[in-house]
Amino acid sequence: MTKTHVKFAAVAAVVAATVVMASLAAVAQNRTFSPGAANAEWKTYGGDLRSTRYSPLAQINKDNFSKLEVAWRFKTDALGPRPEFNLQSTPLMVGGVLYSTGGTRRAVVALDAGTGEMRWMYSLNEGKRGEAAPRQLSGRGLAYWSDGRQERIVYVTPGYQMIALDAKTGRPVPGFGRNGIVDLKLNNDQEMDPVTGEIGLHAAPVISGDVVIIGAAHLPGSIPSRRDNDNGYVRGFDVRTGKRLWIFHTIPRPGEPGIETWEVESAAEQSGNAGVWAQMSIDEELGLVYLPVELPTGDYYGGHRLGDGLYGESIIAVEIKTGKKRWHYQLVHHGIWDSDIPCAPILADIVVDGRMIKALAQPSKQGWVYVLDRATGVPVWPIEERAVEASTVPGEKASPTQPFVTKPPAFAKQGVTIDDLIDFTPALRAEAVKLAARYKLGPLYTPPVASKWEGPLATLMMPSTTGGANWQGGALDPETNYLYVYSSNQISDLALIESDGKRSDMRYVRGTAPNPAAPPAALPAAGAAGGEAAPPVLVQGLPLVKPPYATISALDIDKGDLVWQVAHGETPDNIRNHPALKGLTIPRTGRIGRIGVLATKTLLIAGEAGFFTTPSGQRGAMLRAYDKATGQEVGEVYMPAPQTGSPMTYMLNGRQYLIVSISGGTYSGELVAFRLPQDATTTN
Amino acid sequence: MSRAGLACLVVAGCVGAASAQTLPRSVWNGVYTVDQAKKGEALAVAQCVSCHGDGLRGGEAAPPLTGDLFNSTWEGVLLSDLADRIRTTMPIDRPGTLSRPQTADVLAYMLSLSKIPAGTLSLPADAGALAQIAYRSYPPQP
Ligand code: HEC
Repeated sequence: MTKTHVKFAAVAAVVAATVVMASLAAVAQNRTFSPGAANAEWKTYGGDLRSTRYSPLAQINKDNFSKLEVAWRFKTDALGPRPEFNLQSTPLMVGGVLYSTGGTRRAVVALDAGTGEMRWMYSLNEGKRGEAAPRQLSGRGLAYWSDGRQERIVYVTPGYQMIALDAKTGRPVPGFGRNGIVDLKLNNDQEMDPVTGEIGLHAAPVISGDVVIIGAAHLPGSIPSRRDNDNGYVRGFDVRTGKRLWIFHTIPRPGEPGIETWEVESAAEQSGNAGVWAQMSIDEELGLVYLPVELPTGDYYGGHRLGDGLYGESIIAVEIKTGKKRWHYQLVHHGIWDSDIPCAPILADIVVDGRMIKALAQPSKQGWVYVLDRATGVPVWPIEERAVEASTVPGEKASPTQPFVTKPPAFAKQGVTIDDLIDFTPALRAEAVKLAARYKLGPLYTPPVASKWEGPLATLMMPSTTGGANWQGGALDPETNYLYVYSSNQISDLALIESDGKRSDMRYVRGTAPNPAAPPAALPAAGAAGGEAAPPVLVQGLPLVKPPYATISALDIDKGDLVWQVAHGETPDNIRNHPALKGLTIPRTGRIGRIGVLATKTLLIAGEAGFFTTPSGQRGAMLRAYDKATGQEVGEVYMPAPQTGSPMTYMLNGRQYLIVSISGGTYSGELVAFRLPQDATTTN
Repeated sequence: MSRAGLACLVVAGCVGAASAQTLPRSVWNGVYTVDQAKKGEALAVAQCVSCHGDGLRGGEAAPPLTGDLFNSTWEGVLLSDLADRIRTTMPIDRPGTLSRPQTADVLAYMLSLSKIPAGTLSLPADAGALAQIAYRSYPPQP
């Protein structure tokens, strides 16, 4: 398998080289041959290592989508000690077997892809180590590897252990690490507690050749307990033995390049985090893995880490075999908005003004897709350094400029003005204006304020601290180079308060000032102050911002244009039935969530993010299909709960399957497999 | 289909979700006390905010327990179902450790965060009594 793989890659390189010199027709030829999920299977988390979430399958199409039926369901409750309500998995399908993580301990299951019958299950009880894990639950997925002889499933437990399983039996592979397990808290160029060390990973590993690459995730960093939190270094391991091959320090050490971007060198030594918790992508021809890095410790206060602070919020291209850096590009300097790069960069071979470019398109929380040349890290269209507002928070020094993407246009609303506020009725607008008067409004990259009860209570920030885009990322149709991305339009009220030192040793942490005139809380709160809390940024329970609350956008990344944008998700009941909106017709508002999209030869597919009372009167959510060229909805199917994991698809015995992870509210995690009724599949 | 038939379908079709017509009581009927919410706040600060964020407004790893996203999921759901969901699955690293009265206190705090007015009686711990109260994110119409 590896051998054929290498050969395959070599052919690809030749084709690519020809293309550079030749015409657009040759480009099209190149495109039809490489990207997307091959052989009607789904072998990696993102469909392929380029993270296109694209499948060339076409049996399910616009004429039959609404006829989809449930083929089987797999409930994940019994995979762990209690049910899970946020199943985020995208399974893999190889050779008729579906592999998925599931359950509150992150078990691995192999299912018959045609029936859902369980072939095997593997689960490791990590005891206290698992309970102390910063990233609990079933995670987002796993990786498959084969050399044509052996087949392995590789995943990372909540307690940060990498396990290699025999894909046929589900048994740990003896020659890998110690009895199939590599303790990722060891051999990490830092000391950390084997139980409480705050590190984990919920993303799927990526594997190229014989190298498996592993990132790191921590607790959310709005009130970090320690400035010197554990570091999120990235490592490459030998997939056969589990031996560490290389490590990349995502915060440079003294003497390493990049350290000069830290005003105080010891701050770099002290800072932790800067993990890669998002999915990574790989270009096997270039031999590069692309690392989307998060912030160093402290999501909203940078007073302890002055300077641009590499490699915070940067994309780094690293050689798969050696871990050596080829290039990096920082998306946000000295980040103070939690603009962690949240998802896999999508690799695309684009044609800009007749020139073929091996590009990388990075969706972001801040609402832009950054398009770079993936061989060099140079922007395809200008990204301009523009002046942004200074911070007024004591000890903070915001970067005087930030990189602004000029093309393609943002796919999310950026910044907050009065015009963005709810305006269903004049009364609601008036209330919104009154509420907003207590806050600081401004464009993208308006810094957080030190909160004052008398105002400003906080900076109103849009996209919110969770995006925009988030971990689910986007999809790419390699035939058209349309990139599809789901995004939320949501306001965060972002402010800082002085830490009292109990919950955090940071000078400032996220929080809003309490009303000094109100009596203190029964017990003084440990970190934040007691007393009357700031109001939620809602108007009579309605979002402060106008709809759409969530959208799917199509961007043409050959041209750098926004082609279409639609609201995704039916209007929730709490808005549809709201007394203040009686008599008004509210168009579909879209629903806030984390919605991964799937592109196929024929359709763009995405489930909804929230429950509503469906037209049939059932509580549930719909799986929807859109026309890829126009965004017009072409079909819908009922699901008993919202989509919580990004969908995937495969073909088995002549029938195309669609798998969606659903859960939420009181509905526990379930994989649902859809396919067409037998009589509807004859067209293919 | 007749109206009655439709209402019936609604009730049958949704686990624990209740249509407005069948339930006279909602969280807007003064169902918890200020003291109870204070107790709940102390508990939440100790056991929930590390993941759900200050004021339970949500963090990178856990959803908000107040605000429009929360409301859109739980609109119309019975407090007994919400309480069970908390009691049996939260805190996520130590599920099953909250007693029923503690769960009711945290719920009271969550209601106070959503600016739902307190009353004179505490939110009951008993599932049967909680099943008489539906979660609504907006006040009833006059
Ligand atoms: C260690 C982290 C952690 C702690 C501590 C924690 N939670 Fe959670 N909570 C989560 C995560 C992650 C989810 C999302 C997954 C899920 O729904 O199970 C969640 C979901 C929830 C939900 C469902 C929200 C929705 O809209 O679906 C409720 C309610 C909830 N938590 C209440 C609580 C309460 C009350 C506490 C404190 C007693 C608490 N949690 C403590 C991590 C935590």
